[in-house]
Amino acid sequence: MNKKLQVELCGIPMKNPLTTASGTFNPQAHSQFYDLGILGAVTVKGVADQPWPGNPTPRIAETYGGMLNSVGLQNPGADSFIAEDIPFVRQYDTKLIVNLAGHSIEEYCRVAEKITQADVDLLELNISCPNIKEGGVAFGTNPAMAEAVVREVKKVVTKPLIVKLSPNVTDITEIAKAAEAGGADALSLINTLFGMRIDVYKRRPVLAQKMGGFSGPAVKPVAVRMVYQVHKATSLPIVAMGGVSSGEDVAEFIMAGATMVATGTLNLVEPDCPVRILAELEAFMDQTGVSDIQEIRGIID
Amino acid sequence: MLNDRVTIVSQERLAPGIEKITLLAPEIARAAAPGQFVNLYSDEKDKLLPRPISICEVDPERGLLILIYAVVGKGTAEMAAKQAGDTMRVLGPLGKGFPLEEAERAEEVLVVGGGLGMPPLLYLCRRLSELGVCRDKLKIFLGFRSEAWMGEEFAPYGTVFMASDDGATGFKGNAVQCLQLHVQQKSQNQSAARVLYTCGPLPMMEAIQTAFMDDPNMSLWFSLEERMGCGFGACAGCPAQLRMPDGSIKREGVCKLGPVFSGKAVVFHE
Repeated sequence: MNKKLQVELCGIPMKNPLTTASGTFNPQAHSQFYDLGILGAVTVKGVADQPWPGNPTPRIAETYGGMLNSVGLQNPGADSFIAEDIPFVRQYDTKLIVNLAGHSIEEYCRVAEKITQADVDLLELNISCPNIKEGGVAFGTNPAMAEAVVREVKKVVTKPLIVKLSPNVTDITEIAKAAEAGGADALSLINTLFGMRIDVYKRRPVLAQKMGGFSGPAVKPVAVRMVYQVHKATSLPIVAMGGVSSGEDVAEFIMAGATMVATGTLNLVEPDCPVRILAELEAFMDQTGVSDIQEIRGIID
Repeated sequence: MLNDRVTIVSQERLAPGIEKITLLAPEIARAAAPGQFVNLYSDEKDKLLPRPISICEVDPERGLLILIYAVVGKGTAEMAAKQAGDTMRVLGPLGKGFPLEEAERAEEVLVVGGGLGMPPLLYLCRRLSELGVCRDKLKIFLGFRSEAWMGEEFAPYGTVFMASDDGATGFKGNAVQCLQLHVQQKSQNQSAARVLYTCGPLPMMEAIQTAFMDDPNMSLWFSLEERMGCGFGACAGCPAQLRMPDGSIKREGVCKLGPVFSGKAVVFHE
């Protein structure tokens, strides 16, 4: 059967709805395993205006069907990113989404200004990282602050702005509507859930930071629910992520209302998972008679 | 790089909680360098993350990959329950391994292993030997808690000194005390260029760093362990902290740019 996988995000055509979740994907590392050109877009790790050292180790803990991380947005800074990572990704026939990190509105604006002028397709504003003390999630859990940072960043960017939302809120639709009011062009969700693990034999937390971001297949139902709620509450396109590990999972998020879907934790475990997931998505479309992936978007009442 | 299921050729228990597994993985056996590691994956979806295990030895002709690992949790217990003929998913070889150039020129090469840090040193010693580091130049110090569960394998490549915490094997004490005794008493020429390779518990490597930090004729190479997310340089989960010549601290991923780093640059405490 002839199938149409192409989608459009903020007016930018993508060959398919699959992308990668920021923080779980490194273009150089993953290109060892498959042709990045099979992806609709790549979304790369959070980049800040200046280099960030990240948090102490251990930064990683395994959990049932998932993991915790407290990397803390370690990154080489915008200048190094522009010089080294962008040209690398541009060797591949795929779109580039860059995740932006900051501690304050000023820092978000500075990095956004630099990256928007570089050769990228879309920007993703990370107001939802649970692993940094200032900024990050503080903006993503307060509607007024979310709206303010989105509004200021929108003033300095020329590329479409996706705003990445935190699930660590009572009502995610409030933050989604605030981001929309601030001028967001799209929303992405979910960032990691805030979690913790204690080593009962050592009687101390597994992570040096005690708490960290929980991700992986175990969080998927929470992500599906939030994508569904946000899709009902706003008119913005959604990039969905949270425990995606199969083609059926991609279809599930699209039915909940997503335009694009990202693989996250699975990128770390099965580095070439997008190859399998795309094949599974096509098989699902064949099996259920879907000729255009957009037919199933948001079909759940 | 191999990212596929491989077959287990054999598995044996070397000591309580210490297993030796031999895998048929010709691609890894041919490509691996000493000090590199592989990721082993669970078949159960509840255990997502890889278990990174150092490469103990390879047999490129027969396509064999030999690993020695400790059973420390549910993931390694699942591995230990596997038998010849079973399969498991393996990714590797990963990391960069030990730099060997200095050893070829050095007057003396010291290899120090503690506990589960010992296995990767076996392949290192064989390769050093093949590169022309003769038996007289290579001194191997192995530290156990009690009974030895490896050691004889090293004998063809150099002089082996064994130590154990309780005195059940060789010298009573740890591998670093054994090493220092040798360095003080036996080393002929203190000004000669020497290289030391080590892998083992952090306190052991820290003691080695303290002992030789100011010795300009001694190069140190430490193979570090850190809790890893992916093992191939994507998640930034396992940084080592390294002191640069200008005094600044740089973070480099243990999995991708390590696990071996210059021992004098490693920062153990923030």
